[in-house]
Amino acid sequence: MMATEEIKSKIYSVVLSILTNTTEDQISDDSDIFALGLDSVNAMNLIFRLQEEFGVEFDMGEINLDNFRTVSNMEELVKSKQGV
Amino acid sequence: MLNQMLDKTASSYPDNDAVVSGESRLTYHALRETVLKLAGGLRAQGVSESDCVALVLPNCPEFLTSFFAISRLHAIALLLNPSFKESELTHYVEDSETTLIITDTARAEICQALIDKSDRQIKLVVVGDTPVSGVAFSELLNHAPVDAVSTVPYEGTVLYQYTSGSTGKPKRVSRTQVNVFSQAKSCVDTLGVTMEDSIFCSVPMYHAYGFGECLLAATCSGAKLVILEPYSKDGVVSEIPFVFRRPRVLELIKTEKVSILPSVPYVYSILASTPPDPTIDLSTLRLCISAGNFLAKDIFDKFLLRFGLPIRQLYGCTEAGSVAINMAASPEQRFDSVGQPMNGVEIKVIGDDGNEAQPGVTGELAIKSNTLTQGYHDAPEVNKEVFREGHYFTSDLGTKDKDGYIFITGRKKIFIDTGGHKVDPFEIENILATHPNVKEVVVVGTKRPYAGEVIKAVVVAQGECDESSIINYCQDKLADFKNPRIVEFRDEIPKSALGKILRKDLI
Repeated sequence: MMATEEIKSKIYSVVLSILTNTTEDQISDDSDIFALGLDSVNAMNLIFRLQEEFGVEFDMGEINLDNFRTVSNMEELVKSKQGV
Repeated sequence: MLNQMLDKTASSYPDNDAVVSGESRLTYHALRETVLKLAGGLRAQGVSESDCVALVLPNCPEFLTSFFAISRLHAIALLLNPSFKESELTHYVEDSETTLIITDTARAEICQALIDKSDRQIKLVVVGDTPVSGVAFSELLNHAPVDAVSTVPYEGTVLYQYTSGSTGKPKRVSRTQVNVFSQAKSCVDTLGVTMEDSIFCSVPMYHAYGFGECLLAATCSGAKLVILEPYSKDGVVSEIPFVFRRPRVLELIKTEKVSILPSVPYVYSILASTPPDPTIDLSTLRLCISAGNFLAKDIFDKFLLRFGLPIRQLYGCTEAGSVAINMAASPEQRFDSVGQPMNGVEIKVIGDDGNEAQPGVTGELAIKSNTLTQGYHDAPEVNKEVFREGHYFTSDLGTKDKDGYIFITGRKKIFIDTGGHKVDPFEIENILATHPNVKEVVVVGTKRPYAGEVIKAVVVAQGECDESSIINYCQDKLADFKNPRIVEFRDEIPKSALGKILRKDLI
């Protein structure tokens, strides 16, 4: 089971690898990643990369805007999937 | 002709749902009544025969009513991508001599800004509550309806759309009511669309594909058009990636008993990756159509495996609408074919020698159809090149097999496929070439997993120039989906011995 900080760090890493025009200092835990340019193609990549990274599979009802809008939201989702 | 088409559908199936979007539901009788009132309202705004009215609208019921009201007045509808920036809209509005723009509250400000800068008088009509500028769309519906008696069918121009070419400069395509009516008939006859069908509109109606397979197919047959309403939270409408709308799409397919789904490979890839869920019911779907880009085999296979439905490829263009579709009984055997020509369409494969190619031999696809435009506006040289002997030479390369099934193998022109949009790299290059610190630029698409490319600008800079400068420069001038996501700086652009840019080396 991963520690909270490790989960967050991995999410940042995935998000920044997808939002290629965004740097670390431009994003915080509660930044709206849609406002940072997460488009349709990137959104799919984000979902799949998070699933691969954490070895989880999101249910259809979980793939919604509220669960993916910020790093904090994604962290909560991953933690709930891992039972943290 | 389109007036008679709508009148006939409305009189045959008055109580059928014509268009459904969120809480809004219009029957064909109500649709026609609304069209007649709106035509009265537009006439009161000064719109008359051959005037150009621009629609800067997302998919919504008002798109349909506006198009048919414009058609009723024998005026011309200019269909524009609602995500265009002011500079793009200005170009199209001025080039087409638009006299009135119909838009929604989200885009009213940008439209008003371009109107304020224009030398011509352009009126603005805004869909939505209490617009801050222009006339409210709802106000136009208070006018007396135009005379509903159908007289001699009007055969003049009804549609303007813009299409990019190898020059990157968008060209205006005009099509007549004969062209558009022929397209509607061809689509309905070929696909077997009836009043019992329900068509899901997941592709934009400003585009030839959505306009034909959604708007025309429904209104010609009496089928129901189901529009995915915009995403809204706390009253604020925003655009969000399609994957987050997937639950709503699947819900609509079930509740509205959708039978026909015209869409794009990207959407099918997202639907195919839907996690297992016993509540998902796509049993009403009978026809899944894909167009806009090549359908990869893994998407076809995954969708077939997940939902038991073959995706059928369709082929079309702005110049003629849809012209071919794979309606084979077992499309699995040649999933990669766009099928045979649609009713009333002839498609030839023309070899390098100018003659029709033998089966299996690659050549340029040439189309002949009543749906075909007469040519591009104010482009005599291009017209001479691509409209010859009654055929439109598409620049698409392909083959036919011995059964007449067509396979697209490539393009003479290059487009980038990003998130369901086709983007012409030359258009972006032309913009970036005006950047003061750009000496040379080439724009390419780099492949990303899950169906799509990302736009990359490769720049040879002169003086100080960084990535954000390039991206910011484009943001002001291009729709968001056209903005480069990656900027790469190089000392020089790789070229062949003959000076041809080696685009493959830049991907």
